[in-house]
Amino acid sequence: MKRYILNRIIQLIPILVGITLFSFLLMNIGSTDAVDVIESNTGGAMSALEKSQLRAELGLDKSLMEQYVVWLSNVLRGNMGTSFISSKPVMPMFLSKLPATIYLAFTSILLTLMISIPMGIFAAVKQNKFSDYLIRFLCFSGNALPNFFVSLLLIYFFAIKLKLFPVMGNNAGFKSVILPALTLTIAMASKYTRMIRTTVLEELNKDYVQGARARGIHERKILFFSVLKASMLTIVTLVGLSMGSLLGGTAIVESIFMWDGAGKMAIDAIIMRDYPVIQAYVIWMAIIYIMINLFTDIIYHYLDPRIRLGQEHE
Amino acid sequence: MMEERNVTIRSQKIEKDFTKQKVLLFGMMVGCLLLVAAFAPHLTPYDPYIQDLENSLKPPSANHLMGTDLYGRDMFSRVIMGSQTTIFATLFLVAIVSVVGSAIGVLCGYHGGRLDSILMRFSDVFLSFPGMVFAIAVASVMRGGLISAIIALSCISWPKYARIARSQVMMIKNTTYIAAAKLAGSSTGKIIFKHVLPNIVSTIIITAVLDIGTMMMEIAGLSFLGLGASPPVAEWGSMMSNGRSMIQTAPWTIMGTGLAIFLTVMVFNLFGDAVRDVLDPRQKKGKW
Repeated sequence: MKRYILNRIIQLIPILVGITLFSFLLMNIGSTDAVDVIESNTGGAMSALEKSQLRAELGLDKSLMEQYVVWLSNVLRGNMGTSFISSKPVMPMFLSKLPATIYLAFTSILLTLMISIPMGIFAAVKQNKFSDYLIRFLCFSGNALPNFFVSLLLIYFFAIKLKLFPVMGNNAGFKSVILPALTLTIAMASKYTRMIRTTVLEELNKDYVQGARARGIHERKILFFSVLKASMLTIVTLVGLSMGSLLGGTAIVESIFMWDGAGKMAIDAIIMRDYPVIQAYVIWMAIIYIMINLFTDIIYHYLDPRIRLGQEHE
Repeated sequence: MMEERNVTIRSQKIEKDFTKQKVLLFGMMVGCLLLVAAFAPHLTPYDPYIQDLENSLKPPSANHLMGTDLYGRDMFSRVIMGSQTTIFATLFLVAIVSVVGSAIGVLCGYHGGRLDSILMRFSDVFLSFPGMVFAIAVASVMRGGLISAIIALSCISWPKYARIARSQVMMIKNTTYIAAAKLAGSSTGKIIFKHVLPNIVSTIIITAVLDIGTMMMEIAGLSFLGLGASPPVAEWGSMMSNGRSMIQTAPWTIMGTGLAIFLTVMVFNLFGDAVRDVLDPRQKKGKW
């Protein structure tokens, strides 16, 4: 087990190098560099001499590879540069915004599971009955709704018309997290419910369920103890897989709801062309995503002995 | 016993006819959408770009089915015009990604070796970014409007096709009929085009058609953030972004467009599911 985790971490090193290299190059291939951005943000009017001095000061006159090495060693020491706009270090800024994003993501995953597990099981049990069709229709609709439309609809109906929730911001306590989290939940719950229904249907057709029924075990007990337990692997897979789109989705949803998290910070930075902030956001989101995937694989390892033995064999 | 078998064969046949009918039905709906998109400039009741400030922010009425926006432009005309931009941009994106991605996958799967491991490490890196986060970053650096949004989304979507094509090719590569073709002296190109591609093309098509809806929402999402089509071009995402600040007083500026995206994505998703059921009946079992 320890060896497996260690192996996985070693495998991550080239990917991390790739991610940092890529993010670095991405921010440096543009025709405008940091000095141009600073110039335009301070209202223009910098002489060519001033600009070249600033370039030398920021190390922009060196070759790209040299710049990357310098930059990477800074990143490894936790220094992601300073924002072009506020001139504050990026790293503490990002860290101060991250909890709000994690709170939002976590709430929506929790909501998703609370909605989709019962709905998926219910639809499977009532296969081809009216409620099954209704749930399937809802899921299908949920899959076709882009999150920006969902958030605007929720704002219109629940915040403006019914005045149940605040329109935006994250300073109204638990009430303010509901709408943004619900936006993210609708898309995820549609996928989850569909997959959970399929898995539960498959499990219900297996011999052990028949065996349990024959032994007179209560249907509800079979569902919640055996079938749900067997479906856990699907659920863990789903959570791991949807993390990517969830992290991307938070950016859009946060900026619509003015939720003061890392996603909104990134979108604001994009408008202002604040490259160090965008860079920090991209790299850290990628790292968080990789870590979640690693974690998912390790949970797999615990949940499914077949996977565990297969991997140890390798 | 015999009778029972006949019944199942018959019900399977009915089901098969039914799935074909579904492809036909949803295919026709997709066809209608494409026609609207293609002839959009001729179908709009008003000019989608001419401003008419006297009619600014009028609610839906007989004259303006979806109301008017801040500049008095007819929303219905803009939604029709926007269908051209959004639908064709999406189809273009899906076409590029599926062709390029699968070409890379076929190359890697067939040749293997160092090329394969280099390209696959590349795809690992791309796959380890959360999709939209990376697309947002790429689109923001390029700032080239719709084209940069398409490039950004291509960057994050090709590895999927490369992976699928690669694994399929690796499976086919070791079959006896490929060995026979090699022994018969077929060139590599001939083997790939005549024996390998026909066997993987249906999987690629299924993946591509099922991707259209998601890609459409992602293109519109980037435009919504101001990273895709830029005003005044009528594009669904940017139109919704324009209407967003007026949601309180003029909700029709987003409702019509939102509904258009929703229905279009729904039609493409239904079509994708139907195509999958016909091309790959094995996958159908247990799905819906």
